[in-house]
Amino acid sequence: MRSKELKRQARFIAVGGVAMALLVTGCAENTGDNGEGAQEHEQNTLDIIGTAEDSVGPATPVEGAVEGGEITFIQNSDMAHLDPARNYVSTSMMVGQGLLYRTLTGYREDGDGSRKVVGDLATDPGTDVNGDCTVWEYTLKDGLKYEDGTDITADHVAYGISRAMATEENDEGERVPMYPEGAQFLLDWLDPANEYVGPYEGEETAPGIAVDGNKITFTFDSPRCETPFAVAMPTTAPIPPDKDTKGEFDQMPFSSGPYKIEERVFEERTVLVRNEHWDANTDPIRHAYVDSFVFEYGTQPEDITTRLAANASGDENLATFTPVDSSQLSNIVGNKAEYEGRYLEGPRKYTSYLNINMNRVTDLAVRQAINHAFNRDRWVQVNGGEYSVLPNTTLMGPTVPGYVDYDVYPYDVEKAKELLGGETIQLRYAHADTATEGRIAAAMVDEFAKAGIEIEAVPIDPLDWYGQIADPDNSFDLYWSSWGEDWPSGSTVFPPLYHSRSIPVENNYPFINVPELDQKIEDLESSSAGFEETAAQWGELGKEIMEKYAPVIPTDIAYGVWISGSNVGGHYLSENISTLDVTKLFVREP
Amino acid sequence: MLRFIIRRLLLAVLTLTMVSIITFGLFFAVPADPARLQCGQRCTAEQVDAVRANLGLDEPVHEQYVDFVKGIFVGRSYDNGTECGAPCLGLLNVGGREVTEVVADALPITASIAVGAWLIQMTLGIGLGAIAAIKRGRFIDKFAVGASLVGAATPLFFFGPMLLLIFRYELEWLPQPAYVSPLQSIGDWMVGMILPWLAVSLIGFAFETRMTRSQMLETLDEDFIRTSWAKGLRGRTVFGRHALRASITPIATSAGLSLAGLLGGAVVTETIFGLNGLGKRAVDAVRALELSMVMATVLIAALFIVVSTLLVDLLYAVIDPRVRLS
Repeated sequence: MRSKELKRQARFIAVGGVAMALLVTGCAENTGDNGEGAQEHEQNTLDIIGTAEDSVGPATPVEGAVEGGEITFIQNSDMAHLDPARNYVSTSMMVGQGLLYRTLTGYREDGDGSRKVVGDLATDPGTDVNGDCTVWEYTLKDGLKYEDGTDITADHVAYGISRAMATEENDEGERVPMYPEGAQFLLDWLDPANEYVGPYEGEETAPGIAVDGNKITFTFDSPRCETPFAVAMPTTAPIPPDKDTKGEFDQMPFSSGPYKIEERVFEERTVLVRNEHWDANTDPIRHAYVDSFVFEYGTQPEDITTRLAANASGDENLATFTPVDSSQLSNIVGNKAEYEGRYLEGPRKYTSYLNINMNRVTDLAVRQAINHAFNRDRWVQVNGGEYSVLPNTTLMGPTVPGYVDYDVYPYDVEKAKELLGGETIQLRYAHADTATEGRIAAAMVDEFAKAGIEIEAVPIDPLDWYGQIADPDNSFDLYWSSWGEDWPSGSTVFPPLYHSRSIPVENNYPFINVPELDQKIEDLESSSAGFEETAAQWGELGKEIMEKYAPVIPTDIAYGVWISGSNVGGHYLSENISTLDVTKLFVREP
Repeated sequence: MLRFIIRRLLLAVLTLTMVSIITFGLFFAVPADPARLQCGQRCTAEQVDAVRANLGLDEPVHEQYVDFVKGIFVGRSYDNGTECGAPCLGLLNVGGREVTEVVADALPITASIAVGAWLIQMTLGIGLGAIAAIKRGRFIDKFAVGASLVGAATPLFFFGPMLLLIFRYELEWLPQPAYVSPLQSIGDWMVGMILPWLAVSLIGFAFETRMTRSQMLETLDEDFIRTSWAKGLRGRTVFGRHALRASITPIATSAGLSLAGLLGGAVVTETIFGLNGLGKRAVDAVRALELSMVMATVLIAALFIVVSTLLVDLLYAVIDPRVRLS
């Protein structure tokens, strides 16, 4: 019951997910909750493109918020990257985009479960100049300043994007990207042939970008109707050329956001203090309630939970992006009342699948049988229960606009046996060589056996997990993977997961290679029909893929529980980045 | 003596070279790819290749090893413009920080834990062991034997978190363990280190106690002790100057090695208390496939062991006149 209810509420969007170890996200406080402690989420609404009016600052105030004080985040590891050209992991994006730099557009979340893409540096989410999504124009707001009080200009936005495309020559004389880790969407659209070498050795501005005063225009060779989302990625953060410290920018980015870096020792400590030149009236997204944020690294996830739960004297101002550790989950959710005001829970954007290797399991009926034989309730139970994961049966998760709810292959052992024609089959199930994954594998051995599917569980070194499963010649039939959409659209779900171009060493782990499907995906990607119409088509495409090809077993969407120190207020689950919204936090008694 | 030292130093260089080659080889024997790990799941094959090139991991293994060793003696220049002066232990894959700097930050933390805990455990261990031997069969002896049994049997990964739960989270008598430089404030340094010291030493003292006790008991049965008593020497002189000194040689060996071990990185202690010392850095580096950091921590730990064995050997000659260095 509970999971169904939450699933209906789940609606949020998602950004740059990563490997297993990096699936760190945030959560939501009981603001507008459903009586059970979970944050309300609007149903994957299509009403997600904001207006010029929505783009006007200041951001909607957080109830009860006061100014002042300091919040200390305790984390296991440091932010992977802070350079906007390289920043693509959820917590780093929350710190980078939430506190340090602004981008052309961004996501306005008013604290009531709503979210809209609005102009951040720009006055609106973008103007589709010709009405065919090939030319997009942005006008910068007045009064935008960097941390040193100088003006943010459209030229600097253009430079930031161009810089992200910079390449250098390697020892073999090939040109390779200098900042390869970041989001590539906008960069690929502007320069599909990868001919631009970047501003260091070539033209200062990338092809397809034109600047005129405070206006910046993007011209693409095919329709890109989701440009308002693409320019919300960190790559459109402004960078003045004379402040570009190249590799060192990753540690000390020049601030255009509400905070600036005062001290930074990688993997030790980061201290952010107010950027006095940031003007709240230009910013519809961010608040700056606290005087400073401190980030300290080196505490294990289970110890973070223990320390926050204890809330000992001096620890009242602590917070973390790390969800409650699974070892202490039942203890904490069983005593929610004890953590009132500092307890948070909510569904996350990450959708998980058991991929069926289509290079090995070539018979559709067998893949359908495997789907019918999958006991999702047992899966949820062995994955830590409904405070860790919620059951999911769709390819595009409930957080994406256009979401269609379907369960093509409900749990039905008899149906599975029938599809297998009464025969017994053997499958190799790969799992990370950890205690938890081993337990899950053992449960799956039991469950699949009921339908006559004999599972051989094969442990794999967790450090080499993606290296092994991404190999199209791998010797496994079933293996787990997870995905969170980059922005709220099927265009950041289906192309990376189910298009044949994503097979070698990328994210098409079932190795589905169907020209007809590739064509459908490409048509939707370059459709000029507008966001709302394509959103619905993406949703339907997921159902069609399951019916026609059954390349995966959709297993679950992630769920999280978080706690913090008792003096920290304003907890909110960022629907955009699916982590604790750092911009809404405040100190109750500074 | 000088010849002995020179020979041992040459041997030390050989040992360290072997350790570095083996560690380097082992790292590349692992199938996991640091470039893929750093780039994340979303990276395309081209992006991963670019990261690999940026990290210099696309060069042959032996060239990478030579570059690493050269860096220690003459420093290195990197493609991205970073100049890493000698002794350069490389750069971190993530963050690009100089490993030498990380080590310089981590070493005082580890040294603080090690030296403090070592002093407590030695004082407690040798003291209790000696008293137990002298008062053999009495209550204090039984207590020492019992306490050291409990200490030896308690795992640190259990004892450490228990101390933290009780003294920090429940009673709130102590602040969160943290490293403050003793140059900045001796008081804060000690307060921040109390829990790690207690955790390490209350377990570590057990071995020293048992060892001191059995060595002392053996010595007390020796003829020269009987002679000392017969000469009419006072108890303090017999126990302190004759018995304890004669028993201390093997204790010195174990003390030296245990200090070296602690300096090499108190992995469990540092992890439990969230202190970014060498041990924690080493484990993190292995998990993150940070080759330079792995090499640095392994070499430093090996260096401590090599140097301390040499010092202990030299110390032997001072403590026990029967020992001749050759």
